[in-house]
Amino acid sequence: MYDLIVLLVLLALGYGFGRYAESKHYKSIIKREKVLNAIPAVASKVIVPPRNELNSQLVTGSVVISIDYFKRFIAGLRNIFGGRVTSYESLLDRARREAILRMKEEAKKLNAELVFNIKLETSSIHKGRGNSIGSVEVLAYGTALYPH
Amino acid sequence: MEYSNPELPEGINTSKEHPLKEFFLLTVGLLTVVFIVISILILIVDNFADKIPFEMEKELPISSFIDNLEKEKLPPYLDKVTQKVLNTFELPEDMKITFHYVNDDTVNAFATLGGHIVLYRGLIEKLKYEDELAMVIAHEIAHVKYRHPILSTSHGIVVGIVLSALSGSSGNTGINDLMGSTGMASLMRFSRDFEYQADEDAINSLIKLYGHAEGALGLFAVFNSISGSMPSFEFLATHPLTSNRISQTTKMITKSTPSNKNTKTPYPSEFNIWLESKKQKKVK
Amino acid sequence: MIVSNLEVVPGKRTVKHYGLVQGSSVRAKHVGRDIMAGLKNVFGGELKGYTELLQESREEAYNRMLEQAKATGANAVLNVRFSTSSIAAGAAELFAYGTAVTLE
Repeated sequence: MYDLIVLLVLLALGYGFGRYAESKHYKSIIKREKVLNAIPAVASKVIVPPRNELNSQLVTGSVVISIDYFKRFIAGLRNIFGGRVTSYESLLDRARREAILRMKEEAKKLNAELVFNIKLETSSIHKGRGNSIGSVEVLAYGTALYPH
Repeated sequence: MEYSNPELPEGINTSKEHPLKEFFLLTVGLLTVVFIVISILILIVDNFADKIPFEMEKELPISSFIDNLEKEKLPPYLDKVTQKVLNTFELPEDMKITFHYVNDDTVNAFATLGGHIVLYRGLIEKLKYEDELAMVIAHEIAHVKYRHPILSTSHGIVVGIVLSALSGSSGNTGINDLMGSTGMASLMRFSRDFEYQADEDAINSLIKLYGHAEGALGLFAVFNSISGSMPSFEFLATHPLTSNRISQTTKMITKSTPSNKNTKTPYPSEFNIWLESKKQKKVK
Repeated sequence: MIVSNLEVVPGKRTVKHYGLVQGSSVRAKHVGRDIMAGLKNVFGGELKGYTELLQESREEAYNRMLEQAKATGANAVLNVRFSTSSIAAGAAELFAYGTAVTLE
């Protein structure tokens, strides 16, 4: 009986705080994207037309976001039934957009005009099965082109 | 060349479905499926489990457990009562019941694989009447008669297999616990049905011996007085609530016995003295 | 919509760049596939169930990337890259990204 109560409390905490953090984070992301969309970031390598007057510099942005108990519970249920793990999808979307924003912020410090050849790396950081502390790290890196 | 980063619409890489809705659907769905699958598997297993010959039950590791109990020779009175009760049953040829007495405070009695029935002093001395003792003995004999021990063992194995397959897949301890409890709930429903079945046979036995079944009601009254804080909900309990057993019994009695003044046979005084002495010995 | 992992499409000129478009999909295996995989761990062989699962997932990620590209008004996606990462026990993220462009 007590196990059930503890489980419900953890789920409620995970859900409550998780949703709050997520909505706050999304608001921040959307706000910053509006500003940083001024620095276009593309996946292409070839710079057309060649902007030889600009300097180039590698810029990176990374973020580690943790999974809350509620998301992990739903993922466990999905592991039995299969299908899309929507709880993780939003997590990864946030992490990726945050990583790209951080990379652009670094580019902005250089007064960059563009960021080329963006690459993204995602990895999971967890202790192992069962009660693992799950978190996801996303790294975004690219070449920023900035004037002298 | 124009380079731009236009604003992209939300919701392409995420889902708009509300997580709580998904949570409830999946959790309720899972527990329902687990409960139904386990119940169906148990019903299927029951068809095969009682085909296992009674002799083979003795081969199972239960015998070493029985041997390790601190058993003593049955006192003559206990021997007499158990034989009396046994005679009211029509057991198959190969079904031999072995009674064991353990001089311990434990308030319990149980039947297990291989036809072994163990009676503890703790329970015997809580009762005052032969009728009530006969009820206990008849109830345990009924368990053996209906092969409940081997059925329960098979149920446990089935539940274990299903739960381990699902738990291995989910990898989340919260879910594993929930599924475990659901599995137990399903298992316990069958366990309680067995108890009712054994109660029924035991009452018939009492009526054959004494003409009435007051012993059953007496026994349940003793249970009520012993257990102070019993759980008020049944679903995870191996035995039905005593109040439910009493109402089942009363229904059965009013159908079959005449309602004359029914008196129970008390323990003979020598037996009471013997019980006292065993209690003292243990305390020393 | 032209989708390519080349920088430039032969015979066409890139007129406008719309930046990065991404599509991702996270899928979990279910208990049936898990049990089959467990057996295959003993006997060996291709895990067809898992292959199918990841294929479906990749297709979905790919389609989401195209959806984002359409939303920008592009008519091609260049420099497409794929990535697979395991997020937690039993769930893998399939990710596709590229540059949305208008070609002439």
